[in-house]
Amino acid sequence: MPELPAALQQLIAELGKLPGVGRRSAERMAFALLASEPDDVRPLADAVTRLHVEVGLCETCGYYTDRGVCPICTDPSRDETVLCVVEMPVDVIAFERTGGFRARYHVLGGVLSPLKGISPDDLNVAGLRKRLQNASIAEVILATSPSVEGEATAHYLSQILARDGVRFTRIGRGVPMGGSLDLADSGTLRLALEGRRAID
Amino acid sequence: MPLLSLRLENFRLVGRANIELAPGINLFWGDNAQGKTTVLEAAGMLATGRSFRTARDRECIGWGAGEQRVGAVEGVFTAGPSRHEVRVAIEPSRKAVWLDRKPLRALSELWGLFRTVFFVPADLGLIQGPPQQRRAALDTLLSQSQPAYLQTLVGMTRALASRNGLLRRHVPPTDPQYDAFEKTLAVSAARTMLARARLAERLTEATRVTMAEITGGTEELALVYEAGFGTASGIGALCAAGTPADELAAELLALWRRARKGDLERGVTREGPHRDDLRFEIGGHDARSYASQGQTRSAVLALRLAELDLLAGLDPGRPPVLLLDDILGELDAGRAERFLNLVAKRQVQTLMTATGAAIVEATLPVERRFCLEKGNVTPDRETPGADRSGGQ
Repeated sequence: MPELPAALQQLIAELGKLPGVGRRSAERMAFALLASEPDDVRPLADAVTRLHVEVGLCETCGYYTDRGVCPICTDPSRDETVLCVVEMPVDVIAFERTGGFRARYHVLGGVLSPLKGISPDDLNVAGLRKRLQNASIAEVILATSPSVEGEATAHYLSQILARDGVRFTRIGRGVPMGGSLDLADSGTLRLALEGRRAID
Repeated sequence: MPLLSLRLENFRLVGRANIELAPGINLFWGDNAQGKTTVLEAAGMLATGRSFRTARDRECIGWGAGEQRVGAVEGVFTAGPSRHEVRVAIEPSRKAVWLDRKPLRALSELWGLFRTVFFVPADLGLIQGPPQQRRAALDTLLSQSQPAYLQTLVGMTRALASRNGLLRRHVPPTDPQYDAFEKTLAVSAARTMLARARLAERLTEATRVTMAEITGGTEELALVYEAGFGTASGIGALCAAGTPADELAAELLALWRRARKGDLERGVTREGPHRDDLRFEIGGHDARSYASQGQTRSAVLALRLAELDLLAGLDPGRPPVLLLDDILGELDAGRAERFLNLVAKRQVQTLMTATGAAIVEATLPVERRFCLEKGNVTPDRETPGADRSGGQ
């Protein structure tokens, strides 16, 4: 096969770096872009260019925003007394998709990991401490993942941030909705059993 | 019958093999270095996703794999009323496992579906060898009987490595990061240690039967769990007494908190379940120092038979598969024959290797026979040539 033109090769290589995109998918995308009208492709190129210029992290919570403070932090209808602490900005999107949750968030930017050399200084812990000085917060939901590092990070935060009038809670773990019990792995089932509660 | 068929592709020196197994005793015979152990290794891989010969999976990729460099094992087995298909594919830098054509996220999802008990020549060093071999024996059996154990063990290992990471980075002992990881560590360690201690008790009961069978009732074997903490800590006694996991976890937590300073000097967690051991006592004496060669061999065989009985008793509809590698080469004729008779009595599916077929067939009702030559597996029913019979 003769070599592809350099620009096409570069595009395929760049697309192929994206998560979930293999060599074949990258090629299909690149050929599709080449086959379409230049005017149809320009918006995509513009969006990619604008991305890093315009989108940054919220000064308050660390979620994605194109102004200094994100719309969630400035939304007056949200519950100011509850703060949900998550690992990454995408976790905020997951919670927002649930629809009913109207609290505010705090994005840590990761979890503690002595193995990867991630210490509290590498996470947005100082920002969280500062926010807790606001008297209005009554509950902090620690919504880090149920891994060893996620659990340890939740323990760590509840210990160093403990103060009167603030309740620290941990998200429940267990069986997924719509999941059939016989398909859940035994570890998940054990957690679900341990986290059982009275029917109210 | 558990394992119906086994398929190897570019797995060590076996280029390609389709093996239809019999429900009873399957014998793989041939000269040394022809691929006999490889077949057993492949069968074991279906149960655990791991090799019992090496921790480096890439060693299993055959030379004939070409540029693709993929080695694979596939097997069809029955688990109770259903049939399952497992495929383990090994590439130089990764390994993928499929169950019923769906990729698995974690190896722990595989454990417990298809169970094996194996005897390999290296087992003869089990009693005198390093403790990790004995811990591995406990962990393998526990993971096969309760898959949640493996998840706990993996979490514990990670929490321990994290604590060691803090120690290595010289994080001062008062830093709350220690509390955070020690809490996670204590919960999983308490579960792991109690499960190991309980298993040692059950194995002692089971070996009472098997050791008597193997030695004709002359020897008594006991397996004693030794917690990886100094006796002054009192942790060992706590593990033996049926303590609730919370109580043990609280003790462990306090202990690791006190140990931080000393651990920092050594740069490693000095005490913990990573130092656990299993002591074999024959006639009340520590087998490490007092047992004869013959006694340690009997003890290892009794342990493996006890594992077989425990797993079979756990789920009578799904008896484990027994993998026996070169048992005749490693044991004296009398002991091997007694052991093989005990195996036959249990009527479980067995895959075994030998250099000659005649001696095995004299003792055991071999149902299917395969000849191995340079990695080729050929079903054969004819009597092997006289020069090859008789084992080693």
